[in-house]
Amino acid sequence: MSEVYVEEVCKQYRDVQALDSITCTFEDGQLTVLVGPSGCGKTTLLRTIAGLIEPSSGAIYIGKRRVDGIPPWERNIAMVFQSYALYPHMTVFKNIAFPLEATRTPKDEIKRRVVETARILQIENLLDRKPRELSGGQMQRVALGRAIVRKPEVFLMDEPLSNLDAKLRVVMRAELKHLQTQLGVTTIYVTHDQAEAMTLADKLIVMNAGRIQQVGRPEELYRNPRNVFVAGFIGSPPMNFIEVQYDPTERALIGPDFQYPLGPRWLDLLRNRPAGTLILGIRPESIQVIASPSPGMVPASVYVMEQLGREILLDVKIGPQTLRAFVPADTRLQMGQEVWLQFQEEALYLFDPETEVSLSWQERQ
Amino acid sequence: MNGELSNGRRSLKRWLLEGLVTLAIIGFCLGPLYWIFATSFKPMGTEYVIPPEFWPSKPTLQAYAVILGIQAPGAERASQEGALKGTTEIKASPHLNFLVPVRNSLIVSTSVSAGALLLASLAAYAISRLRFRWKIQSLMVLWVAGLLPAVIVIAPTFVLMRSLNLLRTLLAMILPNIAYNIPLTTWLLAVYFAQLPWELEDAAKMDGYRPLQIYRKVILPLSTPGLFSAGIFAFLGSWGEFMLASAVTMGVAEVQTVPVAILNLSFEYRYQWTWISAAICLSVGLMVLIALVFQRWVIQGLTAGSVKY
Repeated sequence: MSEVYVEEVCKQYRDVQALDSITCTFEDGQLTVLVGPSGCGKTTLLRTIAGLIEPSSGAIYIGKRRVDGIPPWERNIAMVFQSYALYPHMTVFKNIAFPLEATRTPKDEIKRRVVETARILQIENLLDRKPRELSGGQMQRVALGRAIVRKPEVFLMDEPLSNLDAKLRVVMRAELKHLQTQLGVTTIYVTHDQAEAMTLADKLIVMNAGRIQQVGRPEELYRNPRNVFVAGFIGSPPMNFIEVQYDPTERALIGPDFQYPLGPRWLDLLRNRPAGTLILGIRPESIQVIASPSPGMVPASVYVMEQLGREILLDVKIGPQTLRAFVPADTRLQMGQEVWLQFQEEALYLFDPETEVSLSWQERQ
Repeated sequence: MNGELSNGRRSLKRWLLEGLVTLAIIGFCLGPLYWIFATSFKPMGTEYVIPPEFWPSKPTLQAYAVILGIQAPGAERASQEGALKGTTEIKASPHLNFLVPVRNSLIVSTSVSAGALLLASLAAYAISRLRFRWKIQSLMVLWVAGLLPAVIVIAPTFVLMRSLNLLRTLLAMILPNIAYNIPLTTWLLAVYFAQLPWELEDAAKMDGYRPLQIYRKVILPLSTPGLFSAGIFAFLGSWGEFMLASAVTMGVAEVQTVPVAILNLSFEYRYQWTWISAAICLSVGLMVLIALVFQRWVIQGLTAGSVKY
């Protein structure tokens, strides 16, 4: 068990910068999730740590040992692949035993450890089967077994749950979290699914376009996103964004169809800022929808209602722009009906339109 | 109704036509083989009888007995003296033994398949999986080498074998035939390896294996069907190889392979077609048998679902 430290790692493919000076730490014994849209470089980073890709520059440390330049078979890392990558010509037993055979472990010890691993993963009854005789969930367990049997320094997981159906995914997600906590092995987990990332992670690393956007605990990233990308990526449904004008004389934000008076906290934060465009962000769960007008509220009209059972997800229009908000499941509303939105000021985010960085990020830190 | 009838007629006509064409093709392909097969059962001296016999009126295993050395060539002559009418003059000779060339051919072809598979699979693994300089260029060389007609390299090969002191040995056929078969075998296997999922290889690397171990423990076991089909190509190719074999054996009976032995049989005994036919039938029969056995393996390999991706 060791900490993994990545320092200034770059990966250049002809004209694509897949990894742009990545520096980050994966703490000992923790589960760190690399999350981002496809093509953001998260898998490239994982495979670089694995040794399957050589970085163009930079250094990678596992514990005190520098490992870039060391081939993958000497790094003592286990990896679970999206397609499981079980060896089709071997039984489940042989699949799990395969990494142990590489280190010339004695036969009886191999047997003992494979059986023990199978017991932890509840696949003891499958040991004689071939991979093609297994269901997706069982294959997933075998792939996990092959990773944990060796007691490696680090686990790498490349979207390990994405080939399972939705129901099984949730079950396996919980089991994986339990297993990881139990084993206490440093784990780096790649996914594009922010819900999966939020539920699993001790620490989240959000990536986009080959760069790290933000690092932190899941609730930190949710509460205090550093920029528009993280704000829009973490949380489901995503944060609403509206382009507004900041008017210092009116002490308000001017929207397409509304004027939002700012409180003292925001005015303090914006005091040195000239008039101009800002991006206003507000999460759907922070919008209150009210049927009758009162001062400081934003008028809107109901566009679509999606009944989710516990609540209704509402699409409302402010001028040409669509916002999403939640209302209680028993709310009676009609399409086209006029409603008023109240933005809770403490749940409001403002972003610089140029840098897309949150204006309150520094302050909230 | 009328339309249906004419449709029916047309399809009947079509059916007849198709049948005739098919028969013609089958006859063209299998006719000579059948003739050889029938001839191998004819008593000596009756192969030129007019009108020709499509099936011998007195089928006999004499030809087989002679080439397998059960019966001496002279003995057959004696028994056939009446029928010969002096058309064929045969000197009394020692027993023939066609099993010797069959054994030689089996040794040569098996060694060639094994050797070609070993070398070509290593090359194919490198081509399909590893990154190295001059990869495309080496592929081109391999491709061009595969295009060269064998006749061009016979003379240099002969000289090479002579300077290695290998003339009149089976090795003189085994080594060059391995080389001849490498281009095709490599290409076949490279294509096969290329379709094996990359992730298996990555997984094996993460599990602590080096490329050569991965080749042996993951790639080869998963490629049994591909190895068998490439192996059959090499086997059949070297089984039928004649030019080099006839050059390097230099008439020494103990090291002759089947094609050379059959030709020698023709020369030495002035075209005893029953014997030649029997020899061909033995050779072809053996090939069919081997192909059947291999085919069973290939299909087993496929249905075992070793590659299910």
